[in-house]
Amino acid sequence: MNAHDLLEARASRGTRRGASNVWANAQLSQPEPPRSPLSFRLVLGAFVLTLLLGGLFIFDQTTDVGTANEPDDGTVTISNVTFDVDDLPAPYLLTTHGIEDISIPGVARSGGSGRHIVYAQADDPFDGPVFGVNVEPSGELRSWGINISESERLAFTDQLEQIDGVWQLEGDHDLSEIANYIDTGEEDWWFFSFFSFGGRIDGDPTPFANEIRQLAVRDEDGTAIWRIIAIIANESVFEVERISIAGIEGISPTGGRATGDVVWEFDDFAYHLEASVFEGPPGGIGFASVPASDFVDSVFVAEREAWLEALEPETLEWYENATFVVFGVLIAFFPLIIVGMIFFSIIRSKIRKPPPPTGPPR
Amino acid sequence: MEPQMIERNGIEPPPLGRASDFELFEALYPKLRAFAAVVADLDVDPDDLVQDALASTLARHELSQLDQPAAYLKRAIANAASNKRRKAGRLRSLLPKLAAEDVRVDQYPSDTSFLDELDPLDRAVLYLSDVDGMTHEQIASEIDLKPAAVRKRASRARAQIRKHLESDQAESTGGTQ
Repeated sequence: MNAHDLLEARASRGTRRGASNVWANAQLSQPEPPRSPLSFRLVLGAFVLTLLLGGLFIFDQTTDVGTANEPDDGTVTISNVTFDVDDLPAPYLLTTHGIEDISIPGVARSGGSGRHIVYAQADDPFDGPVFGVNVEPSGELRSWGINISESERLAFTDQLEQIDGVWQLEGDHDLSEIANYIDTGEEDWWFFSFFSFGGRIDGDPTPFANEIRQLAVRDEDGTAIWRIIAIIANESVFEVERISIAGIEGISPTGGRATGDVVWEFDDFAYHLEASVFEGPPGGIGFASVPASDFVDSVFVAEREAWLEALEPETLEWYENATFVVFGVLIAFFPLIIVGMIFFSIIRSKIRKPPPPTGPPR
Repeated sequence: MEPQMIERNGIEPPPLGRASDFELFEALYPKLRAFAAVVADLDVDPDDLVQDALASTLARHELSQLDQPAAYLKRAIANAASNKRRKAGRLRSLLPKLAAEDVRVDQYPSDTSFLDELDPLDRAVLYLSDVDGMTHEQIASEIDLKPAAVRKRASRARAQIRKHLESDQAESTGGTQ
């Protein structure tokens, strides 16, 4: 036996399956075409895009949590708020912004029809006493004041005289008439009546404005209109009404003007959520008043963010929480997932080696 | 003549568009099968090797599109045989206990088993040279080797066979004396 015979014997070994069977089995066992890198990139891109969208959704939900009840103009709708005062973080209960134990006399909103006259210092009307009077059509005088005691207000009232049909403030003072107009009741404005929080001067509850931010006098059709924002310890003053928050009596802004403000009472304290922007009609008048029957011992100021944070747990829906968890896990494991995908793609390319023939024989 | 298709495991005959491929393969099959039987180790079924080579080829080309389908398939068979041998060797090195035993099963026991000591490509070269009567240049073109490499492989394989046959002959002579 030589090499030729050996090879021929070897070539005829085994039982032939036949061309048809081999062909058919080859058709069955054809390897899957290699996955194109493009599809891998598409999958990866879709994955990253999903993560980004999810992240944006979470971010959107996070930023909207406290403002879910806010209309588009950025104001807060208080009426829909359910709030548990016990959830308010303790530090905010102690945030006073320097106001402690302020006695607030109830001062009803004045104003109404008739003539309004306001006296104050000409150069800075609210850097000192402000005295106003409303002469009603019946001739009755209703006076008010800011930064003056009750006795001073009464004294100023006594010094009012009508000379030749013109009201004048007699006596020794440095006040000037800065507004004098008739409220016909037809104009679309509210007169600044007041009020705000005050201290006590000579034992009398006294309206007391810490700061007046703005005074504007506009002469329109013979009518002077004031626009006043009184600042009480750096907070905007506001008109309030009684509300109940989580069963606790409180007061909140009314009229949709001092939007964003809310004040509530708890444990002998009133809490004030400040308004970031004082809202008023163009050229209109600021306002602040406390219902006459109310008497608030102290004012603590709660930050708006704290208020919104306190609302957060109750405004999150279950599916929002689930979304948080799912995307949180995805984002946390994102690097691991990417490394895993790369690793498995490499492994797969090693396993699925291309068929040996690389092209037609040379 | 229409190819006689055997329906197996629900496999339908090749689609019409590829009928020419099947006819081509059917014509090449006897030589491919013989070639596979030579280059494959004894524990590898030659038809499995042909089938693997055909499947990988069909995944990329239609046979009728190839300039030299026979050569292409032979090269694929030779590569497949080398791959199987390499994988088997790797497995034996990873599993030394199994390697100690002869894990290879000779499906078709014969006196040609010592050919497994040769490299599959060496066997391919020798087969194409001695049985098919191809020149070294033709073989080089057929299985994508350089002519010098073909010559070297053929020479080495012949020397090994000669040595083995001489050894066998010496043993049989010694046995009869």
